[in-house]
Amino acid sequence: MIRVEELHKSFNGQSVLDGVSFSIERGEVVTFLGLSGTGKSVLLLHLIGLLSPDRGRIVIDGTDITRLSERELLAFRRQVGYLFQESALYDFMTVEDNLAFPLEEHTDLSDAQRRDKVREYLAMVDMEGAGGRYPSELSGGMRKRVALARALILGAKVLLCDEPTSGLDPVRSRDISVVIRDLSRRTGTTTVITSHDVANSFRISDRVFVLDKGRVVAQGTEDDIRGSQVELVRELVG
Amino acid sequence: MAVIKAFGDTIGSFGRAVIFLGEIAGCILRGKIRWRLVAEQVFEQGVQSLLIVLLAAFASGAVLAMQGQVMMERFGAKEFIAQLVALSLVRELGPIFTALVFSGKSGAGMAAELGTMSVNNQIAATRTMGVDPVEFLVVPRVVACLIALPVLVVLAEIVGILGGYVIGVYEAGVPSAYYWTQTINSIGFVDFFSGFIKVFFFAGLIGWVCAFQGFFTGGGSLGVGRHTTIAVAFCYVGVIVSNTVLTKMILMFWGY
Ligand SMILES: Nc1ncnc2c1ncn2[C@@H]1O[C@H](COP(=O)(O)OP(=O)(O)OP(=O)(O)O)[C@@H](O)[C@H]1O
Ligand SMILES: [Mg+2]
Repeated sequence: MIRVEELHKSFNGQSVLDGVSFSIERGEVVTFLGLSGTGKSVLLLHLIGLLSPDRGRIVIDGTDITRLSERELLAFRRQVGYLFQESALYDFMTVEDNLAFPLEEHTDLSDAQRRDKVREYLAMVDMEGAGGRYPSELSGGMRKRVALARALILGAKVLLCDEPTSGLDPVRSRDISVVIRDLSRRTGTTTVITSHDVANSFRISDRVFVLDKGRVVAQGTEDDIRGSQVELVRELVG
Repeated sequence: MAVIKAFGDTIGSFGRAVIFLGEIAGCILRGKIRWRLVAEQVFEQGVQSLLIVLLAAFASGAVLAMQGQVMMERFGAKEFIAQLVALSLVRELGPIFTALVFSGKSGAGMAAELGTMSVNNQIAATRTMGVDPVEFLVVPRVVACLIALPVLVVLAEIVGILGGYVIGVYEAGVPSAYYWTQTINSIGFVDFFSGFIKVFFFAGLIGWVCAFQGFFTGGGSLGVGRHTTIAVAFCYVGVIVSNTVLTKMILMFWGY
């Protein structure tokens, strides 16, 4: 579903991604673990075409997205949901309107159908009561849930989540992680998460990748990772 | 070295600003204008600036009349106060004062809003949802400037003339009916439109500068403050300098 080959990216001469390669099967839930500043967000932004690599290929569902024009990328992105670290909900719209926005843009649903769909997705993330509120009136965890519903509402084939647990307490962290996994399973979405939350990453991921200095230094199931001899990996999970 | 780098950066960001303007113009020319959002923005920008614009206009009309009274009485031509006030306001002061106030209120508001959206990734999020953020967030604001500012200028001119009227009639003792006819007769088509052409230019300039500064804001809440301040400063300089050039061009073209 997602195949990344030899991805290189540097900013102002400073290399951030230095030959990242991996592939992810359809319907898999995978997490990229790594210390702060190792380029996890940069990697995720490449997968949705918000950054373009200096070198390398990113093939998603058979299309090399590094070759798409900006207009083609806009169309491609309808199939991809992106959950930002800070949620990035529109602060000038209510929760309901935030969810309705992608539907208004890309579907022909009637008002009533749209309202039903918004209600359905709010229910999926346990936020039924919050439709009329503004994002600024919600807690960080609630905003994440709403943003997750917004990312999925167009029926995304691929879901990208940038540090879904950062800034949340342990209980909320586990909640949002489990919600992400359950929704991915239910909708058959291929899900890529970045995190430095080791416990929740193992809890919900089929496979985990560890990024360091711009490369994948370990990958596999929880057992594979725990058995790794790489110094950083042992420190991270140990 | 530092000077060369600063110079290079300036050229670089001017280049980006021109490309950005091209994107905005591209959307507008392809008819991608979301009129419902434009209406909301016209209302918001108008309301933000209205009170100060009207206050400034009334005060400048009144002051023009006060000074006019002194000057005209020296030549024994008190009855020309009305013309002085009306022509000054319509040809010059209405557009420029309104544009300056509008930069500081509505322009700053727009830069700060877009800047906040930028640092909170709302602009990036728009892209991830397959929507062009220039079309959705920028074009409505810029088009709204082109509507709101001209409307404000007309209101400012009317209120300014009222300010002049109050002084002219109650202080200087020009008969009321006479003041009105003098005002109406003095303003010709060219007077009004030579001022009004400038207004559209200012509106485009303010919209462009503030949208650009806001849209490319980085660096958290500090960045929002910095970019907003830069936006307003550029607008002030841009409006004042371009006003001189435009005035000269208009005078050359129409001859008066
Ligand atoms: N647009 C950019 N311009 C210049 N440098 C950038 C840009 N985006 C990221 N970087 C740099 O790339 C490196 C990796 O950043 P990134 O945000 O991907 O880290 P991260 O792994 O997501 O960290 P965190 O866990 O703190 O979110 C950092 O050194 C950052 O300064
Ligand atoms: Mg990050």
